[in-house]
Amino acid sequence: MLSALQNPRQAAAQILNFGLILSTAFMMWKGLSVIADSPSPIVVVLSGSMEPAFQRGDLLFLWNRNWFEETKVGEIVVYNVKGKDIPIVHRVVRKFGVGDEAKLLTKGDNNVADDTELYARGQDYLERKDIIGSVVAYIPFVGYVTILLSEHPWLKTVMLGIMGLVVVLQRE
Amino acid sequence: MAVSTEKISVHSMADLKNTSDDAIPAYLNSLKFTQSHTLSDTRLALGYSAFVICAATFYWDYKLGFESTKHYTTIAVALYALLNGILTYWIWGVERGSVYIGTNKAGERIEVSSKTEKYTPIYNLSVTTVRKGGKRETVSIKKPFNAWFDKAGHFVALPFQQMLASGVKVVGEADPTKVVEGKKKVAKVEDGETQSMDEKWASLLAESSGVSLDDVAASPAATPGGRKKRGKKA
Repeated sequence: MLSALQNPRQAAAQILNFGLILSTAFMMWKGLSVIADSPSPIVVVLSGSMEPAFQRGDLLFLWNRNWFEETKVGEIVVYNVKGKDIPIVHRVVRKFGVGDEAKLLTKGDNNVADDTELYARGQDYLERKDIIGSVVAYIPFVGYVTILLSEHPWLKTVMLGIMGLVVVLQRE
Repeated sequence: MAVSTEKISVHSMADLKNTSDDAIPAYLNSLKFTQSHTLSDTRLALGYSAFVICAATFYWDYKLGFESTKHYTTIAVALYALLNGILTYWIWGVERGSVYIGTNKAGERIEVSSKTEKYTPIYNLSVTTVRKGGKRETVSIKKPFNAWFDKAGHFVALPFQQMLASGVKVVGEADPTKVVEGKKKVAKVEDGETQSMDEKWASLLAESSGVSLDDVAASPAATPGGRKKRGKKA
């Protein structure tokens, strides 16, 4: 069967099959991203600061468009602290003002203090543009795979390698 | 007899079909048919351009971030979906199991497509030929895979080529030695490693129709006095 790869067109077709799987997955992610207007429409809960609502490893689905109403107190939002790439999932507890310039204060349900200390130096509040989405749905525990992959990065290479091998050697 | 040195699993339909599919271009190209790669080239072009769009989107997003590339990403995703849709239609509707498309030196065209049904080890070939003068003819050949795969899973070229040469006139004209006249028998002649494939066919025919070996058209190995002896052996 490997000799079939000697035909260059066939090899190109096999590589294309593998490439299309990767690119379709990526494009579906990007499509979801654009529809939800969020750079990361699906996030994994990394800490226990929102217990008992969300546990570490839960998968959250975000929506970043205010079609029906503005982001209000009580909503669970995800934001990135300025300069850091870690998404934080907390609840909006205070709102001062209206519209896009409104100042929002967040706090984790399971935390004693609000997020003032988590914000960047000199930042006392969040604005609407800092938020990358509000939680609209979740699946418990499924995201633990992502946590494993990020804590053991070699797992990613192994998984991709196995996938690639399987697709290229199989012609179904 | 050309027996391939590679073995495949005779229980795997995909292997059986793919190996047979691969043998067709090899055989027809050796008969000096010129293969037309338009179908597969179009498919590759569609697929790779979709992949390139994806790669470009990945690159922009990586370099410039989400917010600034949002609009380009939307367009790219739509374009990708469109190309993928066209590609899927191409594979399903236009290619339709096509295995080989080619023309011979006289300008006659042959199109071969293959199909197998699930769990049925029969190779269905549909061969369309366009002869000089524009006459279009479609022949359907159905043969079980065990006609050209031995028990161990080796591919045996001769019966496969005979099937093509006998079934399709254009191929038979290009390779007359492989054309076998008369009913094909599935029964194998047990004895006769000394007998060539053609001699076996000839002797089977002779027994069944009671004709002398001289009258059987495609038996180059026929010898005049051999009839009685061969009859006893079988």
